[in-house]
Amino acid sequence: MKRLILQALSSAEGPVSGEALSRAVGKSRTAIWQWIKELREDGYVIDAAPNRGYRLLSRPDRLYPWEIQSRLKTRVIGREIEYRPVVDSTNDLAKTMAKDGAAEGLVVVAEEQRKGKGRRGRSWASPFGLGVWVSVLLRPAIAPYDAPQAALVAALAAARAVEGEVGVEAQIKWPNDILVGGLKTAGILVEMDAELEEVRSLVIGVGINVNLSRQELPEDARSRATSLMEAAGRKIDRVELLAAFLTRLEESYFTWIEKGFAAILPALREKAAYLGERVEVIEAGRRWQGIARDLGDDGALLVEDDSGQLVAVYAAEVSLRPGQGARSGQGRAGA
Amino acid sequence: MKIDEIKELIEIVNKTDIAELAVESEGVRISIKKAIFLQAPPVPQAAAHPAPQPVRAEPVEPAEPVAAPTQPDLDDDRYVKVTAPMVGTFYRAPAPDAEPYVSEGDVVEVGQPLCIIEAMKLMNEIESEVRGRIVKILVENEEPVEYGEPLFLIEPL
Repeated sequence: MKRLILQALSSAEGPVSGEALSRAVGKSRTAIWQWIKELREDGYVIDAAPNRGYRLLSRPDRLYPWEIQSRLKTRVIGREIEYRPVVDSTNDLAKTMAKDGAAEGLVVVAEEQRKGKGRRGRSWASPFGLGVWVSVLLRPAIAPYDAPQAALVAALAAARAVEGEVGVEAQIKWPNDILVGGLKTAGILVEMDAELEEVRSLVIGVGINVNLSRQELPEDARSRATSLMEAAGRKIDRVELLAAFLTRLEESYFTWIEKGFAAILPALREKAAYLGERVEVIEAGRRWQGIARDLGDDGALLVEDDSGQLVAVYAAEVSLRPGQGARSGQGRAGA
Repeated sequence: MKIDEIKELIEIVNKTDIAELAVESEGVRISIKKAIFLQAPPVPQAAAHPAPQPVRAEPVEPAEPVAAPTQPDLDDDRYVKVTAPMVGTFYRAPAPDAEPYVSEGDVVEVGQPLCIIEAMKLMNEIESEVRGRIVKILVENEEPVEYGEPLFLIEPL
């Protein structure tokens, strides 16, 4: 209903009378008045001139479901959107809803996460109204051992959305970070509920630093992380960015499911950071260095070790070798 | 001492009846002990299934497992075997400084998390599908696991 009223208001040139609104959405004028009141409480500035009607002056900077859905070009993802101003973790809420039987495509979005999750118990700073903190529930009919590719599928969608909406070059740091100018602007954490042969659910959590100023980034992350606002030099419309991400995710997800991982591999390779560069691999408590060569057919990172052997890396932290860090990344993206 | 030389020593110990061998060379002391595989006594006690330990060279860097550990008696059909649904890293706790989800001897409920397997930033929390007692945890924390590799033995209660 809110979506219909907002549509009627924003498509009109001037003010829209209560009567015209009531005709447009098929509700009584009293009901319209109630909805307008609610929209104002949501933060919309709506001017009401006696005898002339309602006029939408501004929209709040909020990730309301009706705003996202009015921009979505998807069949599955975002049909249902669970919006919370504040939540502990969008991934945790999505997992709970998945267990309670929520359908594929559910999106959980919040303005703020109190306990935003990173990898292995690390936290992800998610201050109110400054980022896109979102989780998407998927139920792909794939074998669990292919599921880790989902992180790359989501990373590709995030990189494309950032490039399309913000106009900066985005790279994918295998397997799940989005770099702009060599600095981390988004991270992805996928959680799976599976049996041996069957995936019950995948929850794809994405955190994008959108309108955080440098000071609002966690202090310990400032040398490695940035926000899209810092990178682009302007405030970014979070609703447009989120809608673009969900649209892109549906594209890359169905390409992956229907045509296989090989179908998105060329696009991933094109956006992969660090290929050809010396990296440090930290896996299962072991550290070693090599040259990142390629992505494998299954999404593994192929690193050539110092004996010239190509090693497929599945579960590891990969970083540029110390001393070659953010500086070279920034130089490359700035060119 | 080179890794190849150590491997050679291990082979010598493996092929002979020597149970223990200590070698000192260029200031490095290598001690190789063979754990003798004890026949499991025919008592139906879970704890009485000792893993045949591989021969280990103790002071060697833990870079490469010298020999793949053979598994304890996994065919015992009294136990439910929990296996890895994918290649990845095995974690016993949700975070490095957190308590393990479960320990040997614990009784777990259906749906209780047992461990996490991570691959490419996908976290797979493995839950118990039975109510039972953890008889054996077959993998060390932060070890890589293969698809289908047994992780836990659970005795249903």
